[in-house]
Amino acid sequence: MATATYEPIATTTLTTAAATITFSSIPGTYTDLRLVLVYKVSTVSSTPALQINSDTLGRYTKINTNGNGVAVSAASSIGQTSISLANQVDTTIPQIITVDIFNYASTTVKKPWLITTSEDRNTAGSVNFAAATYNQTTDYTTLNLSILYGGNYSIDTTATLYGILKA
Amino acid sequence: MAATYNLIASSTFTASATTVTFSSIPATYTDLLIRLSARTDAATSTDALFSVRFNGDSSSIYSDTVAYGTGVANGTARTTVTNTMDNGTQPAAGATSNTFGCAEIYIPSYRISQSKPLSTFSASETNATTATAWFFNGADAGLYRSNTAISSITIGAYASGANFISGSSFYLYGIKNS
Repeated sequence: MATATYEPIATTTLTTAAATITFSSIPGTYTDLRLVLVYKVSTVSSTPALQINSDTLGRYTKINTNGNGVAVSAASSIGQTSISLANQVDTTIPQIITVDIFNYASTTVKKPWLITTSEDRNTAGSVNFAAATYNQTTDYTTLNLSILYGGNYSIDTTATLYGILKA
Repeated sequence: MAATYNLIASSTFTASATTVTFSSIPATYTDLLIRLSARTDAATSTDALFSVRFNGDSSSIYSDTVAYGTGVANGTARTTVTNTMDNGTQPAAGATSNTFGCAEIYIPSYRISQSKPLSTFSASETNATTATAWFFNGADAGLYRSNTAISSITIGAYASGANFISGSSFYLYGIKNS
């Protein structure tokens, strides 16, 4: 029997609105992590964000390319207190975010992230690729999904954390 | 440990055909993932759009937003109120011989009773020497504005009316989150 290499570590589907979703006690037994967030938010300013190990210091860096159907743009940010994950959000139409975190259990490297956001709302939309990192070499044991600029993740928001083994 | 990433069905073309359909998709997964490698016979073109249609639904309730790069330029575009969802491009008859593209289409929460978002990442590299024929990497955000669970998926080169040629392959996976 083939070895399972893509396994769910934990999943959360909200039955009440919440400002945070936390995955803690992440086992160090995988090679990589993949976070999949299918979400709606309570206000149009609410923006999903991610922190590592509950660290809210200015240690997060991101560079991204975005297309919205009208223009392509690029931007970067350093010294952030979290990584913003979305460009456009919606209160009624679910959107997708994936975050791949490579070599998350290493204690010697600053781990690279690959973030994709896919946000089509029929009347508007955007797609986004981003590279990001948490500027510490500590292993990742907790992922904290939070909301920037107030508001909540809405009911039916689903967040799943997968572990990926290379062998 | 439960298996969570399973092959539901696959199709590798041995002759040209306009579409591939995965039907009777079981409702036992959380998300769906399609991985494909394809080339079309669209005449005089270096690339051709490919699109998906769910549940055989040809009503105009699809939309998408794409960002792309060609090696010499980048761009972005939107379509809305269309009857298929454009997902990206694959090499066509005018591209370097025997080159195929690839793409991954991710459809989370395909059974949920609300509009279905999806994402597509596609890439084609054709080893061409002319800039106009390099093509094509793209990211696409899509939306299917139906509350009906997805039970079948059809992929076709609807925009050009072309065929996927022999050697094109399509794999449908189911992913469980528990």
